[in-house]
Amino acid sequence: MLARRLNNQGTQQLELFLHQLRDDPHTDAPRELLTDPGTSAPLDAEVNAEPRSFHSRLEVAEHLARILKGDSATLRNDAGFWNWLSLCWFDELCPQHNELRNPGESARWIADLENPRRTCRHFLAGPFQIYWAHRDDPNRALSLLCGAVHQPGPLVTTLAARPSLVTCNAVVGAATRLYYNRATGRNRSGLAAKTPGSPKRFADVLSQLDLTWDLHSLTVEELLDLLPAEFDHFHRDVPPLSSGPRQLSLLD
Amino acid sequence: MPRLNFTGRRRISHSHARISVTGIGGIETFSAKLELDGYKFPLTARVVIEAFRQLELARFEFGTIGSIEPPSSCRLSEFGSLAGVRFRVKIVSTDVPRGRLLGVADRIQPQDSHQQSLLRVPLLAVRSQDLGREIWRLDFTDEPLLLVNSRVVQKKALVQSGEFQSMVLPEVLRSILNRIILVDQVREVDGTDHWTCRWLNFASSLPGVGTLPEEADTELDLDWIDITVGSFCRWRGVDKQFTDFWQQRVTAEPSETTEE
Repeated sequence: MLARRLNNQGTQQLELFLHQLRDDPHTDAPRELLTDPGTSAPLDAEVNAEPRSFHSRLEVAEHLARILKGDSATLRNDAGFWNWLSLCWFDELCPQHNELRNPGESARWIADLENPRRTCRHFLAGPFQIYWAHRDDPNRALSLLCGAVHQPGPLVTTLAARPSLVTCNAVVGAATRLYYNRATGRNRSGLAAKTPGSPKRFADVLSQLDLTWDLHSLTVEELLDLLPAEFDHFHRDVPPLSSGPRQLSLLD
Repeated sequence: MPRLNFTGRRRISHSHARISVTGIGGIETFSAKLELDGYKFPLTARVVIEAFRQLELARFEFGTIGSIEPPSSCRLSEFGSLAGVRFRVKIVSTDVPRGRLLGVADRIQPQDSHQQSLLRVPLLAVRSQDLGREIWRLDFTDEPLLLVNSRVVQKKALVQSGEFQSMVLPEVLRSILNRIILVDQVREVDGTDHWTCRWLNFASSLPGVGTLPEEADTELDLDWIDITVGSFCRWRGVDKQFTDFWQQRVTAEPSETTEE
């Protein structure tokens, strides 16, 4: 099946369907929107959008990078394309549990590419944009790309919503060092709270560091050295010998 | 009181960091005109220009302060359309510890080499968004953005209502000024198009407000914000707006009594 883009009419009907599905979890996806000329339009490029299942956000991002290879510059900024693809792959992205579907918030399905906080929550555009930003070494971003497609996790919503941070190799590499468990292929558990060393604290500290450092100039190690001691137990076996210019704790 | 690291980073005026975008044969490139002599940055400091749009970022090394040289390629091809692309000029220390920011010009809107005019930027953008059970929220992820819950009310209807204009808008102004002055600790108005400058200019242009005190003093700053919000309310006739809708409400519910 060749991908198209939903026009405004099609996007409105997709949103209406999501509302209906919240009221009646048995509602079928309006797949006719995908091909109806009144609700969708063809793309300039040929993109094979055959539905398939995905086990992780990394897998979906890799697949999207492959199928968008021909025209990624245009399509990755085309909200209508992402909305069409969300609908096309809806059954795979929103599987039934006990014969019921729970689509969650609209931002998961309807792309708002002007708003990073919403883009990062989109099931397709979210992981793809992170992957694209770190396509030279996607392993660096495993903390943001691991996990199921429909469960982005707290790290994504705290870090990926801030463009200046999520595009930075040192920041994303440090997040993976701090929170990703290579043995399990998942992030550590218990990351949702704002406890010392948590992703929320990480994002807060980074927002301060971003004012005084060019984070893009730093290596992962240099950035980890700047973090307050509350993060040490995530990545150090022993405390550092020298006391460099560390960010002071904001929660003394 | 939390202590923040502060390196003496200087804000570079947009008039000293101009970016022009040129399309040649469908390939977009940019050039930069930098006038940084007056800032007295160390000659060894690196000059970096970032082009960015949401999660897309391209960095270009422009040599050092002592020898500013554009890289061999300033192509912006990976952005596709350049709509919404902004630029940032960073001056970065090479001394140990390396990477300190010495100066920044942020959110530079490029000029098309054929069209020197810049788009007019609204002071406060309003956007519809699903906010759960919240009706509205101020978002400071980037520039201040007024979010209105699309599940509950149309944004235009809400922000134009007397209720919102009289009871919410003054507090929106207060929140933004608090953010600029007390949280971000910005008090310079350097003629740039940065959002903080636009808001501080707007505030000081209100009748009887005057300029923000030069030295940071929490009590004086809070007084200045109070004066600004008061002047805003007089300028907008907020009390009249409130009275109008309140009278209508009272008229519509004549039998309602108030119990102390």
